[in-house]
Amino acid sequence: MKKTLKEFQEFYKNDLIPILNTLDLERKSVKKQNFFSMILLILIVISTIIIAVLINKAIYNVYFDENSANIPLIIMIVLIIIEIVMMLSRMHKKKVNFIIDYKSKVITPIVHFLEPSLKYSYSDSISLNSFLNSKLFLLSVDRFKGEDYISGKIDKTDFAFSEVKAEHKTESTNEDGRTKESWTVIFKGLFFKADFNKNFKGEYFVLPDFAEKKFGQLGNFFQKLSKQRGELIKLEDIEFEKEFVVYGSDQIEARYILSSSIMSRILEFKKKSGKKISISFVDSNIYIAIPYDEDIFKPRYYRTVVNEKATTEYYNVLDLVINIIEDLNLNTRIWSKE
Amino acid sequence: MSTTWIIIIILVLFLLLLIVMYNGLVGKRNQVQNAFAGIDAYLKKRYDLIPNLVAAVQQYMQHEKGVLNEITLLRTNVMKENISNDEKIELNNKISHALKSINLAVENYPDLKANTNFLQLQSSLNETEEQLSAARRSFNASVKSYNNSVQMFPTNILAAIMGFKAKTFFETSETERTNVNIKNLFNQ
Repeated sequence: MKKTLKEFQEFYKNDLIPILNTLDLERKSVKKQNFFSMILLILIVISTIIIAVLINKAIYNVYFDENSANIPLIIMIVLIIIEIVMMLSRMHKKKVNFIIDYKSKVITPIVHFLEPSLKYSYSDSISLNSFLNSKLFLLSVDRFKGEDYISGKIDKTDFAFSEVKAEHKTESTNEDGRTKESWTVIFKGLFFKADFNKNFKGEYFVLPDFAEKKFGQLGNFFQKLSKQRGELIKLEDIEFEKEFVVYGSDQIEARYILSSSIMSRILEFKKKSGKKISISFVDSNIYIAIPYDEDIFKPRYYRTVVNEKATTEYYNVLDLVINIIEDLNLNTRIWSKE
Repeated sequence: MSTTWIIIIILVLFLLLLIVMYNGLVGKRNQVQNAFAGIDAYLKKRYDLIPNLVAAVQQYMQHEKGVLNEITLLRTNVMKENISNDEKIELNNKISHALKSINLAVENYPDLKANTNFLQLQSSLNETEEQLSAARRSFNASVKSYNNSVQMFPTNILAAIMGFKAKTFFETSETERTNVNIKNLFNQ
């Protein structure tokens, strides 16, 4: 029941535009409120300063006395900080609520347009456990968060995916003995997990091939040395080998999973996505990591949300991922796994 | 004094190189044998499934007696003691061919297609065929790697001296390459 772009454009015109128009009114209202909140904040801060300085003068006879504690001025600073923090968090909350409202009113219908039985939750995420089980990224995860979780079952295949950001912390001490934290992003983008249509015992990894593309034969030599993921598996499909490097537990089982059919499908999917995807086959599941630099489902706040191009982008991404199941033929269950 | 040391070091390095090359060749040859054993294992698995398939299918497929008898006969022959590896391969290819014929013929028997026992068998057979295909591809990959070492410089010199010979790939036989001829199926 694949939907075409034309059908989405119809859907956009008939169903989404009215929703977007209402949301845009809301957006403008929130922007206006926040603008006034900002003005109010400035006024409050100025008043606080004036009052405090006057009180200070009244007590100490000068505006600022270097020799005494200048208590009103201190209180003034504390008050100003409190005022700023309170107001900014109010503004932020309003903005966040708008985003939540937008997601539930716009993303949910698009998801259901593509596949009515799926569930969308803006706040949920693929679990850290699933992320780690995929063994796609070997750096230890010190910070993990995700959102925009979509799950369900298409025909015979259970699947789920969400936006995910995993980070790794490194601490370094400089000469003064002070520790500095720095964060590296392990992965940011869409993380997809599905039930695979074949039973298998080992673990297999299809990773973007950097070395082979640049260094050919010599690259192969270095790839062989990396033993963390099992043996290097050299497959017959030349195009596939150019794009990916494959590691796994067993040579035969690797080829059982990576039939020539699925290899060409994976290549097609990679071209369609235009991203450096990584895939792993672990524990009867297939995991796909699609990197994205930006937050995918964030609505525009400073410009109108009634924008067909931006909204179609959500459709494109969702369409890409939900169709993985059909693209990789995961519903063909002619082997022993049901 | 120092020249003697240099010569000794060079000789030691050369020896180490020889050892590495030799071990490489042996390792690759073993990998080929390992892969061949893998093929054998899946052939045996398929061999074990065939009687069940024939039994399940016999009651329904009244008109296909010809191909069923053929496959039973092939199966008995393939496990005989005195046949060469090439004959074994040829017989197994014929079995693959016969299995494909049966799968095609099943399309005409909706009762059979609904039978759960048969469906399970078919899944197992599909899986075994796919695993066989994977094992053959694996074998070919290891043969390619081994042949590369035997034929490319500098390991080819050592290979020639120590008697390592290139091996043949597993190729699809003529029987498998010809498309299944439905007419012949019914005429047997």
